[in-house]
Amino acid sequence: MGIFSKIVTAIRGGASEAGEAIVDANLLRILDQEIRDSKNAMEKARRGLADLMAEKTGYERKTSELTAKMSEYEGYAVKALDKGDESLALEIAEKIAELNGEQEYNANAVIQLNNTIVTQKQFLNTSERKVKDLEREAKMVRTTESVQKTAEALSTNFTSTGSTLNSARSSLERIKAQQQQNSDRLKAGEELAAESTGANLESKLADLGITKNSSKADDILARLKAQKKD
Amino acid sequence: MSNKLLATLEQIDQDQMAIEFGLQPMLSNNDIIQVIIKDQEEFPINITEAGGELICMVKLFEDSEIKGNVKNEMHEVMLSANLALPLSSFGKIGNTYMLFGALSAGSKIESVSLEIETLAGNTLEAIGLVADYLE
Repeated sequence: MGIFSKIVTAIRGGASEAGEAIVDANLLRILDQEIRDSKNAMEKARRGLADLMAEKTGYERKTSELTAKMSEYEGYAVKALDKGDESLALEIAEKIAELNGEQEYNANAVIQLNNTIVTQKQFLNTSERKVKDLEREAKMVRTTESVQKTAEALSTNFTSTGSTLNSARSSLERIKAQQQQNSDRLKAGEELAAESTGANLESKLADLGITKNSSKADDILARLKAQKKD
Repeated sequence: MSNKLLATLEQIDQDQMAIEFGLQPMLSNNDIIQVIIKDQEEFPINITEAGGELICMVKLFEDSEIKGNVKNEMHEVMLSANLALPLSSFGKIGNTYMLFGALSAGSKIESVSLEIETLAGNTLEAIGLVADYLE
């Protein structure tokens, strides 16, 4: 059974069986070990690949050097023939043949190295995917174990909130009622605030002597003054 | 490790949030930090760190709270709603239905704060959505 199936089975089994590990601790250790080994192998392969590529570049350089040398010698051979020195031309041709052999050897080495490099790159890609898969699996196991532990703790957690005692529906009703009450209270508070702002205004008016009462007092005083004059 | 998680969560600036909450490690397992939301204390958010992720879970209800014969219909509703719920998904462990979200343990504190706020809101939405299927 794949790890994902095991995880799903464990999750469906639920908190009651959370004591049982999804995969035994050994498997997780083996998984971690496998990840480390694969990573090490990849690191080695990467270094190997760099060496191979350097080697290939060396052979390629040698090949083009030999090509240049061959055409140089071909030029000499033509000149020797022009001068009618057949034996020199033959000697040069032998040299060219020797260079040609050497060049073929180098070109072959390049082809072989290329094949090896392609294979090595494929190995690296495959390994990389394998490591990613293993890491994902290990992560799945760890996450599920943590989630299960939380579920287990929740099912035994009567103390802190009492949430296990009430049904979700009645809790929701309570919360909605509480929210309604809060918003009513907020509204009432706003109304109160508005009222007290009105009261404030009156006291400010009084401070400036422009309330009804104070103008009454002014009127009275004016009337009294007028009476006194009479 | 739990203290580290608690310390991280304590950095959240609640003044910038629409909800108020308290933090407490769960008594039976203090790797789990409970976010207890004011006026919504029945549905604490439970946060743990595992495999490089912060997993935030809210227990919604138990199998036993579902009315008879409506389970399939309720599941359809939940699966459809899953796509629409921002940041949160429905899940089930054993007999317990959950709402959860996960984010990288290396997330910015603002992201964690958003996750908590969203999950708190989604919880009420989610239970409201299926309330008719519950006893």
